[in-house]
Amino acid sequence: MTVSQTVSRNLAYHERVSRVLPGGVHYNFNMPWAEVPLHFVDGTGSRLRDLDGNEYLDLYARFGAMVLGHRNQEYLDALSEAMQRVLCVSHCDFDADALELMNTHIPSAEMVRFGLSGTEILQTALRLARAHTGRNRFLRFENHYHGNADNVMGGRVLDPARPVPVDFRGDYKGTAGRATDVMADQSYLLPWNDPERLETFFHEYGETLAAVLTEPICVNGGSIEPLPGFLELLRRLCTEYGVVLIFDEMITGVRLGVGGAQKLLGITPDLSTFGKAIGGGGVPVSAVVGKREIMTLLESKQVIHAGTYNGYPLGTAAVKATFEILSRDDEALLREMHRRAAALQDILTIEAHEVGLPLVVQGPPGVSAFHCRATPLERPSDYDFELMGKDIILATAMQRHGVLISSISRMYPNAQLSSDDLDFFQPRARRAVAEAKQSIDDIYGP
Amino acid sequence: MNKETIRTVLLQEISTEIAIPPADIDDQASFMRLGVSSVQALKIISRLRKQLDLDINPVALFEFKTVDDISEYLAEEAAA
Repeated sequence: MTVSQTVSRNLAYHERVSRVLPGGVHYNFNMPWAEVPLHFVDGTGSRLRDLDGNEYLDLYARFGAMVLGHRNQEYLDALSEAMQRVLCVSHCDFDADALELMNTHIPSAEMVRFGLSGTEILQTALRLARAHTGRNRFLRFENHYHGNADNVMGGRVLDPARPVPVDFRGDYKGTAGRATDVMADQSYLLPWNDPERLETFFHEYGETLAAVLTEPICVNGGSIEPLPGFLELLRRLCTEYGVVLIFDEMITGVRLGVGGAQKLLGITPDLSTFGKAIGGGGVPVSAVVGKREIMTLLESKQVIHAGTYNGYPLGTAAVKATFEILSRDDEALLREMHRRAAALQDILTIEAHEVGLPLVVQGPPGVSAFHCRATPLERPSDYDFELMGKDIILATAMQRHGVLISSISRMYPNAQLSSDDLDFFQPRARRAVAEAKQSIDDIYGP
Repeated sequence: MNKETIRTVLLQEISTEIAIPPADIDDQASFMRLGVSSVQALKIISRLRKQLDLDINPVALFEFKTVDDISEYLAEEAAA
């Protein structure tokens, strides 16, 4: 089915789970509406099939985690072997391979520790930075996302002269129930890609900082790339002021290459956090990697990092398989994935222009996003609600026509993306952009 | 603009989107319970902005539990 899918079974199933599951979903942000989630029954390659028998091209990829594609046989064999051998022990004989692969490919990974979630491992990285520097505060940037913990979610600055984030009504990344003053007591918040503000801030506050947190490419803020020299400046200032530079590579991770965005961009942070795709998409694994002099705070047991399932066999087997598959033949699968993703982006852009819908796709293929405007966004803080609204209209139209887009408008390909998938995409994109253009014109004017 | 006027405009806009007469909309229900989708919500917000001539933060708007609460919030915003 290609248009106006029937979703009656999905709706009925949603009703059933909602009786016990709050909102009928396993995660939520403070967005002002509810979409009925699709419940899937199977997947192969880049395609998924839902309870109603509708087929979809999966560019959602579970927030980017599904990098190997559904039912990747080599990956499934590796997981099956691990399950047959040993499931629940603290250390197993997959560890060394997984650790050495990350150490070999990721520039900052002199040492590696595994965890389970991005939220949790990011807090471990902050703890390491505080222990290393003896300082408390960290700096993060507007519209970046670093997990679901009280001290890093949303917020806004009231006084630019003292840029501490505070709660505000209408923050879609905010939450009720946050510990009082946890953001203002621990952190600062600045706009990203603003070198002047960054330098001024460091002159005043640099010596109080334990860490700077940044996505190396701001995927969460609209797939915005760093302006030339911005990350170099950040690296220089962190070194000058003795601040731990932390790259959050949760999304960029292996999607841009097995060395992460840091290898692509040529900037080596002191610590980095990984998750999502490093486990191939089937099992949760996260990692904090970094300089030996910082990571040895774990060796000396000065910094605690605990967790029942840290380094569990299925997770390390998944990391080993993922890095082996994606690094093979000079990362041939990833290069092909990027080439096809670029072709897919071209199709969407051409179809949008055909119907007169302003549209730009930005960010490197693998982590790119579309925006319903004529020119790329330069700063994450420019991604306002009106543009989000337009992007949501196109993303929901794409879903109605059988193409799943990750929030808000990200397109995550996988290593099995094929030429057949591009053929599947083109007519659906054509119908979706035509429908979206009409809705956008209705709401915002032509 | 007072709360009652805003409430009438809001119910009319919701009615247009979800095809239920304004009188039949439960003004103690949340938008989510009324089944307002993302695109419908964007349409309602856009029309409210124009009709009320207010710069509305859409997330704030929908943080309120009921149509009645939203009307009260918008009346306060209009008066500010």
